[in-house]
Amino acid sequence: MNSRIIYPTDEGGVSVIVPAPECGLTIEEIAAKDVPAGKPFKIVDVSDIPEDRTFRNAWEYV
Amino acid sequence: MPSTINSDNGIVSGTSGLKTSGGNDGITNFQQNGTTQATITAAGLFQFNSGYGSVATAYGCRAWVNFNGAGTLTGTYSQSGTTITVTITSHGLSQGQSVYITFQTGAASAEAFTVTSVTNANVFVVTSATSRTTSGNCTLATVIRASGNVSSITDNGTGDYTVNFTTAMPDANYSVNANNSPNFAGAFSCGAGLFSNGTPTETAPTTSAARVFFGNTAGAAYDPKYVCISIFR
Repeated sequence: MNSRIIYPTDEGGVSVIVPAPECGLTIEEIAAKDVPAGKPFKIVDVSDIPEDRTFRNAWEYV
Repeated sequence: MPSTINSDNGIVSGTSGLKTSGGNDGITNFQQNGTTQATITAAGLFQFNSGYGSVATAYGCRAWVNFNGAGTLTGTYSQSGTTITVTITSHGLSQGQSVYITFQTGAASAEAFTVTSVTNANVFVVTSATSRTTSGNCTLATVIRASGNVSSITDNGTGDYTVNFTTAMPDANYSVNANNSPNFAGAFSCGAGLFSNGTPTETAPTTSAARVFFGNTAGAAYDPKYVCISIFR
């Protein structure tokens, strides 16, 4: 599964959900279940996630 | 209706399947040479003799996951025709696994691949949609190597992950075991902070998820290459 789910954190950062390939759920089902209630979210391609994690805690949800 | 084996009623023939219902006391015993080796109690507890001479209740691992927290793994590749041979130290992949690879040098283009075969712990093969001859450096996106009853991992920040369960726990009083590979760049020793986001404020476990934080001996967050988490209840 080459999609990721992103949503903003309460601290102003962004969380990235990495789906488990063996779970048997669709990306939409995972988003509905694992994104905290009330949070906006986006389903993005894995290529949209930065590869360099040096400043991971400075990532923002846009 | 399945055939039923019942110690009180004998074998009751059915048309499909087989059901062992134990006696009318609700207890099912599995014996060898007249000695009970495993029991399912009337309360549904599974008990077995693990070799220590007595039958006792076994508590199961309800969820587990092995993933790469370091974000990406880097290595090299060589493409001949549509076959791309990728060399990444300790890639941790298995045949049939879905991966996303980007290529920093050479002529190959980023694609979502399925692992065709695994040559060894450091080399695997994928098949490209485009035939070409090229080689260079490449990067493998974050992967969950294997899991059970885990729908996803939430990357909350450096060293900060949430394990989300496919099927919820019966309550939040489960036990979490978390371990990780060391951070050689900062310090050899490191540890996992259960139910933590890296601050003094705890993140209480829920029936659907558990949060774990990884730091080195200085308390600094870092992303382990190997993160192993299991949940027992």
